[in-house]
Amino acid sequence: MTTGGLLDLRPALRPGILVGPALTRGPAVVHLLKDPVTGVRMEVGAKEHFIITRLDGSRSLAEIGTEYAASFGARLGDAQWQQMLRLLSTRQLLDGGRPVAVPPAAPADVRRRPAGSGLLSGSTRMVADAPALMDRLHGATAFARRPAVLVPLLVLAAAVPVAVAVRFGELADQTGRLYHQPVTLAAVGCVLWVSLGLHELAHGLVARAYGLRVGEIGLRRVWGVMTYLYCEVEDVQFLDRRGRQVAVAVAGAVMNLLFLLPFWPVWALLPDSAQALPALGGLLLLGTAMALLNLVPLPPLDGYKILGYALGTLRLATESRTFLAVAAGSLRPAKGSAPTRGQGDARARLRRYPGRLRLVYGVFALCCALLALAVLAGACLLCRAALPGRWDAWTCYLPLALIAAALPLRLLGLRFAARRAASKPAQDPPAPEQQAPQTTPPAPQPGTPPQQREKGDMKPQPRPAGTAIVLDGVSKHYGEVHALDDVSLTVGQGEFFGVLGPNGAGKTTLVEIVEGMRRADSGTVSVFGLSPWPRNTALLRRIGVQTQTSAFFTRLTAWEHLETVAALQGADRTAARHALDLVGLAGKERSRVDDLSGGQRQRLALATALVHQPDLIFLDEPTAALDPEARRSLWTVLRDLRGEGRTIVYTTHYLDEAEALCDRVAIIAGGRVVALDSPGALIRSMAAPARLLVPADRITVEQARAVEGAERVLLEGGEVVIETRHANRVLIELGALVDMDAIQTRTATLEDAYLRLTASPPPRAAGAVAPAVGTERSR
Amino acid sequence: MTTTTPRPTAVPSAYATLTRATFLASVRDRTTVFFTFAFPLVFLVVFGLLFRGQSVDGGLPYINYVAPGVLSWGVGNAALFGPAFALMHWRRDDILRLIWRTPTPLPTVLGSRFLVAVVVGLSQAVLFTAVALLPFFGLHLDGSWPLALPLLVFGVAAFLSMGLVVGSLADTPEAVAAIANCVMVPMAFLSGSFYPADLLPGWIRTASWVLPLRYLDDGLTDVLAGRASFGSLALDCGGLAAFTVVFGLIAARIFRWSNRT
Repeated sequence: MTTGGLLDLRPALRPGILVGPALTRGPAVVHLLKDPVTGVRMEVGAKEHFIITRLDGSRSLAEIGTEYAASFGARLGDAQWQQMLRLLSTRQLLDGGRPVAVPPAAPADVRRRPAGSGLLSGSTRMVADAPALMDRLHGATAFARRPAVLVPLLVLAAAVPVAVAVRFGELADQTGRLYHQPVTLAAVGCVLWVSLGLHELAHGLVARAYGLRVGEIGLRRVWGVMTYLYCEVEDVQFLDRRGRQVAVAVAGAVMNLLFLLPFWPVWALLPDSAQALPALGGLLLLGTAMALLNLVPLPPLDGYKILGYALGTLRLATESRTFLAVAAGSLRPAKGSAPTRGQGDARARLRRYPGRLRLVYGVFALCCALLALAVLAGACLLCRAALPGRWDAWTCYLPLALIAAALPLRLLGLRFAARRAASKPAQDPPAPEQQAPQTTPPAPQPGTPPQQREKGDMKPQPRPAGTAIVLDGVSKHYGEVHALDDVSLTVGQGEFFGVLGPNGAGKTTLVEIVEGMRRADSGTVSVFGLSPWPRNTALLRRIGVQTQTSAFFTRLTAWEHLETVAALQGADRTAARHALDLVGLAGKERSRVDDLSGGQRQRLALATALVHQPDLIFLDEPTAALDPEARRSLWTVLRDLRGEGRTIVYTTHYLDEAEALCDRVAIIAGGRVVALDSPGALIRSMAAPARLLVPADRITVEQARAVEGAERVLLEGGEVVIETRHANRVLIELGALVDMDAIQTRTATLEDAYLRLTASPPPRAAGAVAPAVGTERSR
Repeated sequence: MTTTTPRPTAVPSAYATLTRATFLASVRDRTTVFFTFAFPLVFLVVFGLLFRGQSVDGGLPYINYVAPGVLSWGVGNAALFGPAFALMHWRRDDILRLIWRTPTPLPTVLGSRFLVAVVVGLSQAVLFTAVALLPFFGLHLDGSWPLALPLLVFGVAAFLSMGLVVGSLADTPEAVAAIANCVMVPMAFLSGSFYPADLLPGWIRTASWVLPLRYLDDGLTDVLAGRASFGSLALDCGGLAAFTVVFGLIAARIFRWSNRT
């Protein structure tokens, strides 16, 4: 078994992967890694980081191994390299030229929405596009980032607590008076709430200034009694300078203090008899207290984050607790003469902490304990001052009593939760097997003329009198995303035109540009010889678009909904009846739209599109939720519509349906038309190669490449993948090198062919249809 | 108001049909209907019991403050929440896109929504006043009460335009509820809906004139007590109209046909 090939590989990290600076977690040095596409975050150790940062595609694994050995004094074996590559590959960190699969429930979302987001507790997104809002705010606050403005502002912010401390007596007195005016106190609370909202925005703005992304702005509810704004900043710990990380965290408190600035002169200038004096005094004192309290280094507060960023530590509080436990374990006097085993372990673990970390964790734990004691003492004093004096001697022990009562309850709760978690069976669904049925691979027939139609006798070739849609060089970008990229196509009047493509390929954008809901960035669009942009009502009358199956007027019956749409379209009273009969929903007209089944909703959506008898009809997967019988009956409806001379543009995922109905089919991927022809010709031209999978430890990439008939060899997740159109011949050759049982065969299906065509724009396999695209372009 | 007038032409008007659709959707939501009418009554009972038979020094009986206050809050609440929820739902479910594709202009859609909101507000006012007039609560209605009608219409318009702003901002029902509550609850307290505005600290009373609810509350209190002059009524209506314009302009700025950018 040779693995020489493995060390010659020059893998590269996918571009855009974020790698953070060194941090400490417990005694270990770790680096954070983030995949910006999937949103997955992970921690890697210093050694993995060493390797990952060197995977640039230019260095071979052998070279990296040498550097590694020089730094860490140990060589990496083949098994370790393989394990490393497999890990990187399964985490999709390597640049494989393939689109990245985003897991259905992206971990980023899971992290963002903790369990129990209900009516009372949870969070609500308030801004549809938070990054865009932050961009605008960033532009609007550019003046404040100039040193000439920023430095005085910071000085003023620092002056607020000093000024409050100087006149503390007056302010405290006024705040005391405030507590006898509940309405005014509520007003002060409202103002402070606004200040808290600005606090969150300040975090976001500073983060934005350093190039970070603001994920979400929203409201969080806690037990139904408290709501507060939050602004989620991502990846603070990926900033390369700790000072910047700290600036992001400290910005909120600074904003709270700045917020108070305008109130100070008003308060200072008001006469002593002014009615608003307690309100302003209370606002200043409570606002300053709020800002400073936020800087206390305890876990949910900003102060804790600031300390963590400044020290470059992850999970400071948890790790400090762990450290204390370890330290306590090593100090515990042994019950015999010899140290016990547990004690020895603890000592060894303690030695792994460098001196600086011992100091950090120890001092933090001490500070926490002191703070907790101070809070407790404060609470006791407060109780004594605030509660009625009937139980004078006892009131100050109330907080202690509460804690004494709460601790056993919490312990019980934890135990109960642990028991429930233990009794719940593990729910890991088995990964679905991706074994395709064994069929002989379809032989490619590049020579077949595309015009030869398989079902030509069923569908009379229409020679359209005119064109319904003409797109010429249409492009549309959303920021960096190319939704449509230089698309040119023509749909004739009376044609049944299919649009195939994966989700997100640009189908929706295409339809929206044709109906005039969006404007193309470049290129020309004409529908029945008119421009659809801006909203052209004369044209819209002639277009029918099948809606989402939820787009029905709330709480109406099917009949009422159609009647309303007909009236909106300016159609007469018989139109709704006609459309209802057409889609076969006549028996369900009195049912509420919410009570219809999936198939019935699908038909109602179709009727909604047809109610005003449009000439051009856009249908989006109209048969998706239908049973086979209903699907066939709908096909008849569609064929009849086409027979009436209407133009139909049809998107679907069913290739058989496209084949049965459409005159021509365009396949769209990555915003481009990658193929355009009659269905029969497309199917013949889309023959894709078979894939043979061999475990990577059985064969090297070089050996596989040497096999005659192998067209492409890839390393995917610990398997060497050989693509070939001559599977039998390659299998026999492989059998001489590897045990046959280790080889898995995946033969091409129609879906494979389609997937292959849509995976990467202009693929080689589309060679046979390229001329068709070309002729469309040349119009 | 549904299909009472059969039109001579075969093509029914989009306005009438949309109004009917909006009305049916409102009436069929039993829970919302119940709370729209029951909530103000609950507050009336609570505050009516609390302040029964008392008067404000140098002012009117308590019930003459509380009844118009709670009524204006109830009308404002319904006129804000209903359209906000509907707008959010219509955008989320692509009904707005459906409307966009038809030749019907947006003002027709908003007009039908306004008509329904006015009808709901007037029904609330009638039911509420009828209960408050019971001897138990002891409200006395002045003969000039019809002057409350224009006030209610202006008030509904102001809160409807706020509802459109909220409905354009929020993408989920939770967000609508959160924003609308954040707006309405402090406003109700600061405008003196639940206790006599004359008892508020002077500067809050002055500051509260930046809130639309204050105008509606003030106008209704004056009208029901019979101390409304033409000038004060015009001022209140003008204030509400100004809020309608301001929030209407904001709503027009941030209106979106679809959640997809």
